[in-house]
Amino acid sequence: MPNYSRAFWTKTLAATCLAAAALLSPAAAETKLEMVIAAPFGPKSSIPDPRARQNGWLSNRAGVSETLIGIGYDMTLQPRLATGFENLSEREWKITLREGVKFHDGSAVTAQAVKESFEKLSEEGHPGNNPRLVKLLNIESIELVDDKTLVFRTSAPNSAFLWSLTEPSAAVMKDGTDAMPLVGTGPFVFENAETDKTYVTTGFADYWGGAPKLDRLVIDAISDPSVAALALQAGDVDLVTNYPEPDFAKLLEEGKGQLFSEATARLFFLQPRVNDGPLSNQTLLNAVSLGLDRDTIVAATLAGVGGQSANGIFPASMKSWVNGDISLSYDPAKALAMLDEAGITDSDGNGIRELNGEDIVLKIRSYEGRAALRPTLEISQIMLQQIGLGAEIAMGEFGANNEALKAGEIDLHLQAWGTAPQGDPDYFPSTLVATDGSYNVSGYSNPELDALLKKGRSLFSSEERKPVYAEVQAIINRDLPVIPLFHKTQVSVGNGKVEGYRIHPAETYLASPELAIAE
Amino acid sequence: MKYFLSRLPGLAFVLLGISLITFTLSYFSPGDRAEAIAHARYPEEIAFPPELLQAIRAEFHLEEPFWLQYLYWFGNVLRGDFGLSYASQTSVWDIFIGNLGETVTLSLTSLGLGLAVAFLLASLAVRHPGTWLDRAAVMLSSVGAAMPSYWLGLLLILGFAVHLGWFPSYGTGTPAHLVLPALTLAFWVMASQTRLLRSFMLEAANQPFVETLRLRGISESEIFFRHVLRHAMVPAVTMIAIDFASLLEGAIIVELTFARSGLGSLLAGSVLSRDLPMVMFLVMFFAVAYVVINSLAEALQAASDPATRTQEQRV
Repeated sequence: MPNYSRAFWTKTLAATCLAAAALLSPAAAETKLEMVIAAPFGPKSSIPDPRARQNGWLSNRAGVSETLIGIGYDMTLQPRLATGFENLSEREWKITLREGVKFHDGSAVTAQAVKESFEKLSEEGHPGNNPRLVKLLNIESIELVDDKTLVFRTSAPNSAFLWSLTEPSAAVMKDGTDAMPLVGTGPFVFENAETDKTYVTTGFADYWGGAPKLDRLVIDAISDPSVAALALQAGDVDLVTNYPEPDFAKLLEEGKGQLFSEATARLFFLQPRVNDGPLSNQTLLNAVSLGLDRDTIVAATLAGVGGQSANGIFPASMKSWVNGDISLSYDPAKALAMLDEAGITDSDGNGIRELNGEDIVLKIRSYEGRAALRPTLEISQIMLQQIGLGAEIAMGEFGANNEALKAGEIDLHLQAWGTAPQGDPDYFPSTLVATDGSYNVSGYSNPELDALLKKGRSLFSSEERKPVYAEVQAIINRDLPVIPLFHKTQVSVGNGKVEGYRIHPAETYLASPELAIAE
Repeated sequence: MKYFLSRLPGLAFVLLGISLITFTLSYFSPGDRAEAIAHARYPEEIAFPPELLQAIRAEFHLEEPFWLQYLYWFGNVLRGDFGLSYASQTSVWDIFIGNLGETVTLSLTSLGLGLAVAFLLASLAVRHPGTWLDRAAVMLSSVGAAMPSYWLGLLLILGFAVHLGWFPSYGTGTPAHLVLPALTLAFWVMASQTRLLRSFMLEAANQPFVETLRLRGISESEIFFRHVLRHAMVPAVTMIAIDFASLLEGAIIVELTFARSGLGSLLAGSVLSRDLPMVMFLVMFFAVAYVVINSLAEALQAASDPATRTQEQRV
């Protein structure tokens, strides 16, 4: 056998691989301005009607569908397809449509077309059928005033009606055809989708806000952030929306990469069992909150860049509703003093304080689904031990944890929720801490808070509602029926050529006509 | 064929057991199934109004007793109706068919590649026992067995996609997209099969008939390729079949690593979104595929080895 050199074999292998790659590679893309974005979630079907289920979230982000009203980056209501919205009475809302808006098939968006789109929500068997949104909007009738004006009449007073119209499922769509299965109004036209994998769009030249700068936009689902980061390095994607936090922190430290970061309204919090068990003792509950170092939790679980310590249930970026006068502090010394003063001490010297003669061992559960939950649980356990409280932690299932909390089998449930998915401040407290809240499994009941929430829902002016919800936030911080920990910060990284990208605090919008890739 | 037919009643019993276990696990999985359905339909939301949950309970007969629910589900399965995916409201069967091709392509390509290398390495090792070739084959198979697919996949992406830029780092669609995932799985097949084939071949090479053949003056090459390999293939068939069945499951990690379409990523996505009809169907499919492939391998082995067939029939 001839004695070939190592260089010979290296060159032969390289040439073989290159030849194979050349043969196997797809033809070079013809489109000039194309952007490929890696996101953690993909479409749920091959033709996902934005009105059905949760499809609207992706089509809204992809710029295919639009709603009448949107949520701005300051979480306030913003005109979108509607330029005017007026409350005529407790049950009537006048909506004035924007001039010059066209559907992707070139037809004009009229009041009649909007009415038909909303009627499809309740039409059983229609791809846009959405019983959940029908209930949320509670529309009794839609009256056409003229070609550009409608009056929505609700079955009951609903102060959150305009906020519900920002829900991505409330998209204005026209029935599709085989050639154009989804006919929306956004800056991008739906081209095709593959379930859980990819969502492909092309630019819509007649968009009311101006022709988009991109010819084509592809959103690929890559659930593993590490793989998405490698795809960015390989040049296969231009932007990764959810970049791994430790890698982001490294890039930040080194001053490298095109970095984007924005606090979102997603809150990580503990829900305690306050009706019975050890945490029905308010002093102990306050000590738990004081003993949790939120900055360290963020630093340890999200490399210091993936979250912001919470001062209440809403982030500072939610300017229209946040109560900026309240805070949640880390003060272990104060926690220790409070416990000592209340007689919750470690009398047997085993390192764990006792309540009513029994060691305090808090049972804390969380669930898989959000990467930061497990490390947050583990760090919380250590922090509680430092103030003399035992903690037994485990990962479970969200629904099962709730049932266990309700039954008093566990003491705390660590969770992560979007606190204002439609921008309205009522959703989170009414669901979690109101006496009749559907997810109030803590046993918390405060007539004062219930009355405030009822009042908030009956008011129609944001100016009047703001002090009500500010008080709600203050009561929650005082009574701690939920213990806010941190607000998630979304971190994205581009390839250095991405222009016009901004992270929305409700993670509702992404593609805009300004989104571009530098040549 | 006769052998395979004789195994059918047992196979049906196994499948019935699998269906019952699958349904029971799903039925007793923690949490409210109505919430699981709601979560699959609205993955970005975490809280659902009680009216919606009640409507879902009625729609999916969730308040009926266990046995009634099982019979209702199994009856539909026997009629070929596997239900609708909670997440997309499309037929579970259609989604499965849409993803089957990618996984089978990946598995067969990996099996082909892995077996080719394994045969080469094992043959070299057996024909040159105790030499560096033998040691290299053993070492390579040990490294392959110890290296997790996820890790190897990331290394291949880093080397061939990030640094060299020869192949795409993720996705599906072109033959180029298949190269790195197939190499990842093939490495595992190579590792597993090299060790087994080497040992089967060595066992066959040490049989007394080999010495007889040598005494008859038959060349070493002929002995190896016509006789040793043939004997080694009898046990190897079963092991190859087991590896193929395992490849279908191994595809889960590889498909996730390379963000590929396929049954693996479909199963992982369905588990995460708690899409129970999809999960139950896929668990059933993987179990059935495993049982059927193994039964076929046993039948093939029995057909090629009368001793095994006789023994099996006695059992």
